[in-house]
Amino acid sequence: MTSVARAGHLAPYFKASSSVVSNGLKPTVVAYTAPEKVLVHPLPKTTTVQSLHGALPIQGLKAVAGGRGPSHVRFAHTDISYPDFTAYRRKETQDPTAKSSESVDARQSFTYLIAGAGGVAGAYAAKSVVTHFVSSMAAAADVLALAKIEIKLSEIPEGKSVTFKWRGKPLFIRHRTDNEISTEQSVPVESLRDPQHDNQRVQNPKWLVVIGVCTHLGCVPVANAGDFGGYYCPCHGSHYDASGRIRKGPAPLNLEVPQHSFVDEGTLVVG
Amino acid sequence: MNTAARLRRAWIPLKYGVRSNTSSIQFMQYLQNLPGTQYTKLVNGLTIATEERESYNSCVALFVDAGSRYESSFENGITHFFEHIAFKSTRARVKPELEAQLEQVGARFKCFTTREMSVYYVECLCQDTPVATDLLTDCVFNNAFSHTEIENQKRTVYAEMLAHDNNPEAVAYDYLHSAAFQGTPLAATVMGPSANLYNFTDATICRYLSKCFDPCRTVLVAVGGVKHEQMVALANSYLCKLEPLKCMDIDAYRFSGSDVRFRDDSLPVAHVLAAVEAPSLIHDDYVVMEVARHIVGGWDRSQPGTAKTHYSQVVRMSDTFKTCDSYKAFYINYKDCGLWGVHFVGQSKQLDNMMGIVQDEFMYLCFCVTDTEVERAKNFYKSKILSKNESALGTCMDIGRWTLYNGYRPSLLQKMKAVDKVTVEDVRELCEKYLYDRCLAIAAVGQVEGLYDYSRYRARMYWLRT
Repeated sequence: MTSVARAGHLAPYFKASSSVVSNGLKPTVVAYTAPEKVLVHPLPKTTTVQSLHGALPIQGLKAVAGGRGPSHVRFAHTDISYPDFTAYRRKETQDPTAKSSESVDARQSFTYLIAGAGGVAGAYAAKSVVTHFVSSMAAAADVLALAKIEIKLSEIPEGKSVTFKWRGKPLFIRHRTDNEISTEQSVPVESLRDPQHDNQRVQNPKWLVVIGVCTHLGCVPVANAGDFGGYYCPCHGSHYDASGRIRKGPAPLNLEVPQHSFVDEGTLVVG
Repeated sequence: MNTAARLRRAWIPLKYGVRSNTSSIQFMQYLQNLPGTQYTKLVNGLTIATEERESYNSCVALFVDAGSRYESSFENGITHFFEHIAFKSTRARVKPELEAQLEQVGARFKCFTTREMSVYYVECLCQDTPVATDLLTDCVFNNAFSHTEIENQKRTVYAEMLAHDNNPEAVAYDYLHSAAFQGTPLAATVMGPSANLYNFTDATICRYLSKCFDPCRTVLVAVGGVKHEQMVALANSYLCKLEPLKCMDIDAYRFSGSDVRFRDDSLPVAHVLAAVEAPSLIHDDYVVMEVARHIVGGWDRSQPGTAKTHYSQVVRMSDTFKTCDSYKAFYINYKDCGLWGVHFVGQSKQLDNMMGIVQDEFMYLCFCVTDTEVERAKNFYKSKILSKNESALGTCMDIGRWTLYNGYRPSLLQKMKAVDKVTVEDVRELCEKYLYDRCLAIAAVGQVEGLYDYSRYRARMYWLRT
């Protein structure tokens, strides 16, 4: 205890009185200092038994039995008045003598108009927020950009098949000759394994657009080879014609034609 | 099938028509032949209304347009307080003399005060009517305001106040008024706060009486074996000295949708009142709203087991789900406003369910109420009017109240006809006017924890469905 009391910074708290040693410096001029204004706070109104008792009508009448005074004061329910909500009221209902049922239609239509407009605005805001978050789950812009390929057709000479990479797969664009066109057009559909007329597979008969994946086991066929002058799959010997249709070999289906469109005379967009 | 349905539809009005006409033609003639109420106005403005009957007793009453709504906040409770000193002593008769005379007559002197009406009445035999009227008017208009009596009665009234606090239903109704009519004089209670009681002196009482107990605002009613001329003569001798005063004018009063709850878990149950603003006593819509009130009806669990097949949907639902101990629809009306609603008593956990059932019934009244239910409620209401008007006292109260606010009282025949005219369309239309999407005033006392937020109940006041 003593050691604690001796500790310099704690000492003042343990002493009942404190002494101040004058430093000997006195102000040279005694200036008038106004006495500090003494602020007297009114005592808080306490709701004690004594203070509340004054409000009761029984003042001098009450006889107390027993050694102790009253321990509680009982108010009638009528002593508590309803709080005043005037500050929260609308202007139409501020006046206590005005019948509120007369202004009810105006007040309600105003409220419902605000609520309705707010509801519409809120729904619109909610919609844009939801769209924002849902669209974040969609493919990114770079991915979307890769999903399409634009090809300049003028660079592909007639009779040639050019290979592009599209969505990770080889894409064959074939500039067919008139000869090839007439040959493929005249192939009887019934004789085919996967019967499709040439017109169903090409938009512009001059251009064949197919995915270069063999429908048998997924090898990449070789262009301008095979028995039918179209494509030939070297893996198991599937022969495709110049319309990409299976003519011979184990493959079950024709080469797949992706979605494509001719934007103008010289441009093809695949995807 | 179709023809059968059409036939049945044609048969129903025919059936009711036949049923009501056979008995009611005679009854209507009987009502028409009843002696009417006679009115006289004295020079000082006092109205005398009498209805003569072939009976040996009579009921004389003084209706004064005074009550807590005419009191200032410092006077609140004074009308009720005056009730207590009224029969104590008068300027003409000292206390022992007055008490001896009151006992000697063998009549029943009584009085009661509401928020806007103070009634002093006596029930006596015909031959005692003059004496009884003399005593009654002497007590009310010629009081001695004895100081000792005032001090004594303060204690009595205070004890009465505390006893009143023990009645949760009465407390709930007081709270309903204080919330629904907040900021208006109608919010004040009949008894007033206990602090006011302490300040009442003979001077304050006198000042108040001179303001409100004014012959213009007073109606003297007599029902029973008394002649109108006799009553006019009596009034002339006892009441013509009264000076007419400046009449107070009355404003329309504001209703506020509001909510007040007094949670007291020491009570075994909760009392909940839910009310909307309703037409006043003298409004044209009054009768229809009374019929609507009787459609909702009332019920309590002590009624023997007919709840499963009860006419009222509220009863069937509340019996199935055990949501309440009792409920009743009420319609409190004043001269310029009213409160129409339902009072129910139930356990805390079921209050919200019961409130839902009650509000579903409100919406049912607005759109789906059927002809049969309206007919039943009309019959119920008519029989209630008739049984109320059977006794001299009941008729006396009816005449007094209507004469005070309306100037005259519609005869029984007019009342019956007004009820007969009510159709299911009227009920739907007016319920939609007063209930649909209107604010509720809710007051609850007791174990009210289970009652949810006000906005929940406000939102149930409309149906967004077709």
